[in-house]
Amino acid sequence: MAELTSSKTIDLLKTLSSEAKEKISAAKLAVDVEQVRVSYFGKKGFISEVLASLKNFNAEARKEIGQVSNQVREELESLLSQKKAELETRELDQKLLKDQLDPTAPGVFYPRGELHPIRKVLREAVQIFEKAGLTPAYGPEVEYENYCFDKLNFKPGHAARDMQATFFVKNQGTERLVLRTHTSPVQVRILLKAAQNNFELPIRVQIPGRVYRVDDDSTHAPMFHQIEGLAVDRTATMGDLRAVLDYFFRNFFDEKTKIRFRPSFFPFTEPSAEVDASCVFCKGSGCKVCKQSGWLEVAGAGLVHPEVFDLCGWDSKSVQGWAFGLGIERLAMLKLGIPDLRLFFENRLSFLRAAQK
Amino acid sequence: MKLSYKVFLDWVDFSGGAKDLANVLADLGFPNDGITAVGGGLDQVVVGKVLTKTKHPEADRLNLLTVDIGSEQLPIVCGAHNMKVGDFVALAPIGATIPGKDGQGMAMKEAKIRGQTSKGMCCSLVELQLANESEGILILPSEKISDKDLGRKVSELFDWQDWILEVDITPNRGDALCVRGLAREVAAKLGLKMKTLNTIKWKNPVSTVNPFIESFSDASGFAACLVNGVKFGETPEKWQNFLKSFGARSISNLVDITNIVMFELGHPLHFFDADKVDAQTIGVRRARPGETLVLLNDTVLELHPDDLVIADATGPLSLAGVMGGAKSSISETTKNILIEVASFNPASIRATTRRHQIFSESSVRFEKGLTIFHLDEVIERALALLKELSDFEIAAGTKIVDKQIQPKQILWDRGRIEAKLGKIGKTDDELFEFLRRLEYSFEPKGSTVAVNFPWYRTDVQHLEDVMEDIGRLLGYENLEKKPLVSFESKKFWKDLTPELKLSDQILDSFISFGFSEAIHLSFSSPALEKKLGYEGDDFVVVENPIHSEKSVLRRSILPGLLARAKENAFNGEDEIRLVEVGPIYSASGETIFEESPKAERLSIACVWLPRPQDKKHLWNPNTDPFFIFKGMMESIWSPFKMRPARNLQIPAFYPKRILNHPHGFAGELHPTVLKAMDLSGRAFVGEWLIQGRLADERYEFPFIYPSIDMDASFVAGENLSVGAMMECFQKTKAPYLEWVRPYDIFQSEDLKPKKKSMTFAMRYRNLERTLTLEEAKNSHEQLIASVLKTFQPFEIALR
Repeated sequence: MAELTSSKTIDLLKTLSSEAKEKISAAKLAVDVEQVRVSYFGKKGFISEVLASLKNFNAEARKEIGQVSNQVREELESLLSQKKAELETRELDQKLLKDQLDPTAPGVFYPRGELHPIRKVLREAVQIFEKAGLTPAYGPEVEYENYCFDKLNFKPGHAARDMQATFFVKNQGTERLVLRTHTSPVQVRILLKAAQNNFELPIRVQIPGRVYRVDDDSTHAPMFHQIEGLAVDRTATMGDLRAVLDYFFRNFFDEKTKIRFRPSFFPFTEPSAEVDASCVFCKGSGCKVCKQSGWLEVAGAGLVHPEVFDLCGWDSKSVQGWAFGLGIERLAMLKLGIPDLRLFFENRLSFLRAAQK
Repeated sequence: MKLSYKVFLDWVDFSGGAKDLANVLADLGFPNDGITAVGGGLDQVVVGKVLTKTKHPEADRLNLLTVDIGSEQLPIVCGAHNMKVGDFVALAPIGATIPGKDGQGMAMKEAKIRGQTSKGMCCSLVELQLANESEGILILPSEKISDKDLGRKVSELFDWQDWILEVDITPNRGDALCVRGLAREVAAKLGLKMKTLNTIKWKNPVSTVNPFIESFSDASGFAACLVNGVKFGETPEKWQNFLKSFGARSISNLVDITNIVMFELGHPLHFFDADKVDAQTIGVRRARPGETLVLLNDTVLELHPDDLVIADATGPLSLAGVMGGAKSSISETTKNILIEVASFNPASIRATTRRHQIFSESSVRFEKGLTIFHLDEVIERALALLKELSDFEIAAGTKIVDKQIQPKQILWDRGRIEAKLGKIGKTDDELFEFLRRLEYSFEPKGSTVAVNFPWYRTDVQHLEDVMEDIGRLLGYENLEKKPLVSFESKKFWKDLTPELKLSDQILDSFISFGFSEAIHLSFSSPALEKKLGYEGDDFVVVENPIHSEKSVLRRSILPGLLARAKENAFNGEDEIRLVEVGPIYSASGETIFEESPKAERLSIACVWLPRPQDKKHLWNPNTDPFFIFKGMMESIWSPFKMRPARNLQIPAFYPKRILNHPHGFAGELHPTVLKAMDLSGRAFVGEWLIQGRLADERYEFPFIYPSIDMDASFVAGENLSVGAMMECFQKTKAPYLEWVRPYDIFQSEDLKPKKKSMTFAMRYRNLERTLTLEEAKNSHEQLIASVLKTFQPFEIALR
């Protein structure tokens, strides 16, 4: 057989290549693309057959044809896989779209649970006070009358006791028991305990908890929650007390919140103050909630009364401290826009789950 | 206390308005509960004169008036009938705005009423805020007006306009329940001068009164004065208005004087008819057993031996500090009076008012504490008013018996004051000057200064009390402000933070399973608690409950929570899942607090009441809720290791539907409990004690070698439980078994009767290297063999 020239074979390869390109671009399905691949590159494929005949060429022609055929192969392989992927994607999409699943049907239902608004506010308040360096402390709710009143400088028979209408608890023993009317008896417990521990200072605590008063109407519940603050050291001033409350209310409401102190009376503090925060609704310009004053009463506070120190075994001349108390329900109503105190303890699910975040 | 702005101006030259006064008082520690305007529309209405009055042609109940207001004559349609031609009326012309009946403001417009034009309105007392109720329209007193006043503003002619401040007085300031008390405070803060009070000091006292005090611990001062030749009569309008502004009404000139002095000076006093008492034996003592007293309001009071009475030799005359007696009271025939002013032990008065449930303006003041000083001043003011309102011939002079107490004194210590209030930018002398306005006095004592507290204060004795007054006068807002600084607190009490952190995490876990947190009052009733099995005498019992259903503290959270779940069901709520965490109480037993009078423990409880409508979901509605509940509880509790609970009452559960937890219980309630609670459907509940703390968390590397999964299906007698099978799988301890799960359990017609099919999935893994199929198969066979052998009696076989 006469030695074949390479040019004819190269032409053939080019013709085959353009033929194949047409077929690839015309392919409608991924399987068609695969067929094209087989018909050109399969064992009996057109291009495979051409390459099989290479042995009949001399080395130089083989090299020439080899170069061209490699080019053609690379080009076609790339087109083939590209087209195949393209068609496969389209086919998958078409298949998925034909799926019978109705995505407009509802998802599986999971009921939503919510923390109680009091819990939310209590947790946030405790966190803020922790950042201000007040360690949480706790005490019993069934309390000695002595700790709840006498040691806090409520004199027996004094009208100040009427400020806190009290539930009494039956007791076999000699000590009269009450449901604590405020969290302040925990102050007494801490001061007494500290007196047994060499009067170690400083004391910086916060006391969250349940308290009780004989009161039941639209704006008073017989049980509610308070947080008390107490700091005892040798230098605590009204200014320090103010700094803590200022920090708290700015963090609890918003950075622009202002507070003010007004003189007041509590048997266990002297001087005593009522603390107002600028109204969270009108930002101080006056509205219905703040009765046009621009201020909301939010806490009671003052310097620990010297009698309280003395009654708890301290020397009131050598120590000083401040204390405050605030009502969680009131703060929750202001912060969460809760319209009625009674909602807190009715625990209706459609109220508890109403929170929008 | 009600404080009239107009009355206040008689005491101090205050230049601000009523609202300014309220603000100054609030800055002094006397906030107010609101300001009520009196005669708010008086500068809007003008004097008019009724010229004609005829019936409305279309309506019998209406009158047509012509009212002359000087500049013009206006047609007015009026619904009232009490005016006659010639009467002067308060007319609100077109354009005026008066308070109106509801106080919300009412603007006058020209109106046509049943075809008749009305160009204004004749106002009533109510519409002008001059009274809470009134009949007809206001007829202006003709003796003070003439025709030349027509058209003038009513406010220019009558000084009826006022504001009543509802001032809050704290329980330590009995002295401030009067105009003088508040005026003194305002004058001191603003540096204003107080007006002097008209008093009569009776010269040449020749006492014919001889009062006694039985015990100085019950009463520390008693002053009495006989006055002869008084004249019983009516009180002039000016003083009637004074009383009205304090919310009191006029009775007679003599009785009114006692009230006027009390509202002015804050010290209650009593007038006896001197001809009905024995001035030689009068005094204050405790009631004797069996004594009774007829009060002014004709109540017959059985006196208690701890009650204080004013008495003479014949017996009790009045309930001291609270209310006068009927027998010795002032009447039309009174000619001579005995004035009594005293200072009683506040605790005694408070006990008496509570014992008999009688409260008066007098008792309110005495129970807050009133001074023993200046009792004579009270009498001198009463004498001046007697002169003005009644006249008298002779006052026999004041006789005082008292405990001889010295005013309280303390040493000035500026260092200590600034240590607590912060730096004060005023000299000592400037501060003294401020304090003198509150009637403090100062005298040198050694190297420092002694401070005498004001005579009228009964609640002061510490330097801190002076600090508060300094703060009040300077303004709390002007005290030194400091930045926030923090120090770590010393801790020497039992720290409950770990328990509470644990309870927070458990609570959050319940929330993530769709439970919403409830918070309930701690109160319960024995009847409710009994429904869940809590009985006996271990309750903490409230002596004075608000309601019989709140007579004890809950021993468990569950009863209250279940009752609330039921209410939610009753209200038509869906997906009733409630969780509550909080204290439970019992009379004895373990407690979480040191030195705790009763036992208090921390507990968490949940209730799930599946409602019929909860099943109406598209997906997977047929799983029995017991398994949903069981699965939630397993998932919630699996991370927590809890200490076993003691003393936790377990309620009646549906047989076998109980989840055994060492620290509490959970399961489906027995139908009898549901019935007792009046609940329908099914209820899943749990309650657990929270004790101990979160374990320290530990992490491990994850597995890296592949697992081999296999299944096994069995047929066995229907009595063989899944739990027994699972237990057997665990006990077999087949190597490499990571887990086994039942995933298909059924009985069907394809199986023999009373047989069931159970299919389990098993996963095998070697954590150290890749597990071979051979190893997995061996283990799997071991597992199957063990089950087949163990449950032979159930005729178990592989399927």
